[in-house]
Amino acid sequence: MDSSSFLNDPVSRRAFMARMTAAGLGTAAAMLLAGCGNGDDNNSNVIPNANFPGIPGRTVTEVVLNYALTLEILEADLYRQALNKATGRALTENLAANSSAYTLTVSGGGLADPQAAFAYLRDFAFVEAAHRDFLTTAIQASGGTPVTRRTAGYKFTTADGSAGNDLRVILANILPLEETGVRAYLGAAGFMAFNTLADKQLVATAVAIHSTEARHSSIIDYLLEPTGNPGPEFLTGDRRVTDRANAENTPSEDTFQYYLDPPTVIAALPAYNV
Amino acid sequence: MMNQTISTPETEVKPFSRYAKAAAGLALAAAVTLPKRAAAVVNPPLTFAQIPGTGDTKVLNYALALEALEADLYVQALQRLTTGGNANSLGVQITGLGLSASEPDVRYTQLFGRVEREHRDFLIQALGTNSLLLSAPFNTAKFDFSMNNLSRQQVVNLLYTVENLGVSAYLGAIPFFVTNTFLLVAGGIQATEARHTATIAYIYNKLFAATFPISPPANVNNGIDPLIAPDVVLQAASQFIVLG
Repeated sequence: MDSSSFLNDPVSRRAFMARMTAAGLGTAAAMLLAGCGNGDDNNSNVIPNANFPGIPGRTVTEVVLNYALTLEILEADLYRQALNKATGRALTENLAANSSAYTLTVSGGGLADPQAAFAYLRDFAFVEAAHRDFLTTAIQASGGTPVTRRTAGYKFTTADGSAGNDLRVILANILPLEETGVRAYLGAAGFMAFNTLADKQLVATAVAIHSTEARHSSIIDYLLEPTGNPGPEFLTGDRRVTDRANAENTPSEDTFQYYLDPPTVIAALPAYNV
Repeated sequence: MMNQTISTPETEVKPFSRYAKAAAGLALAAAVTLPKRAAAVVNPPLTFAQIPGTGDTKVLNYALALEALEADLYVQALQRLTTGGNANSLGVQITGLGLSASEPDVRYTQLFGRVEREHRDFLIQALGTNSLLLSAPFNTAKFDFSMNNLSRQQVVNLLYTVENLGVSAYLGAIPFFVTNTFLLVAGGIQATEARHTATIAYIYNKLFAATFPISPPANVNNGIDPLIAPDVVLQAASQFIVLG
């Protein structure tokens, strides 16, 4: 299948996104996950490493923040590369100090509104960097040690493995990352401590970052498919919020945002590593 | 359900006073001045203290109040944009503007309106006999958006403003939960509202050459959606609510 038919075909795009969100994770692992942590133990003093394998932190809340930061570092880095790609820069260039430094130089790839699409790609790159810096500062301010960017970096790969240089392909590669981010925050918020007002405000802040990722996902989805449904879409591995089942919402697929369990997301991350 | 009482508004709301500014900014973001509401709207505005229930039930009832408003707003907005009708809570005949179903604002008013009704119905079912829609004065509440006075641009502006407010309203309500039992569902609804807001903002910008943000820019609150406290949200919502 060539990239244009891939990108114009919502069914194969969905299948691709499902693969990306659950990369490397087999059915057996998914079944295993069904039996583990569901957030009920959020107030215990035991750090649920089984739920956040490899993510450091002195408390469960700090582990969740480092989990979120791990994703924001990845998102910020891949957005930086996407922006470099869309503006004819080397992928290794740092994010510019000012968003006005960027001008679209690649083809829109048939997008109906390439200038708006580019403006959002550019703006969201800076937003993800702001989220990363916010979480880093928050973890440091509480005396914790924030996770940092991998020295070897991250791969900005295209949906079909091709060079994919037009804006449509670039956005199609960013979308799974945003969709995973929304689901990751929603699946992790329930693990955070929820006792004091400060705890609850921190949870609300995490959910507030989650809704910005939802906004990004929705508009990128809309730009790629202007007659489609930019609401929540069920992807393989997704859980629904009403009963935690690995199934579509009722009464409609798009009634509620879906979420992913942290181990599902964490298992998908190495696919992005250089 | 839950029988814990929440902290008093004095101790809970105060930390959020800075978010009142965000709500004020939100009203200013509406580039279009909306016509004055009917005189019968609830005045003084509703407060969180008036929402029935305690603990988590109270928060769910607050969410239901907002979802009921949104659901009926979409019904009335679709009637206004298209062929009119009177199947709305207000029971008045709305005159349609005659837009085609293929127009983007019409299409997504229809699609998102159905989702908002599903949110409302989910909360009604979850609350059962504790639903605020079963008790006075809310059982006879109507929603008056002065729809017949709104232009197409004002209708889409109102949808954007209310959805955007909904995103921040859920965030501001989270600290009022006693337990995190309903956090997942609240988040699942909240992100859905965020998705709607982003799409409506884009459609509004395209139709009316405007620049509503799709999401908070990086230099505003670190690119993070603001929390708005329940009393601030209810003050804004009360201009559309007619009780009894």
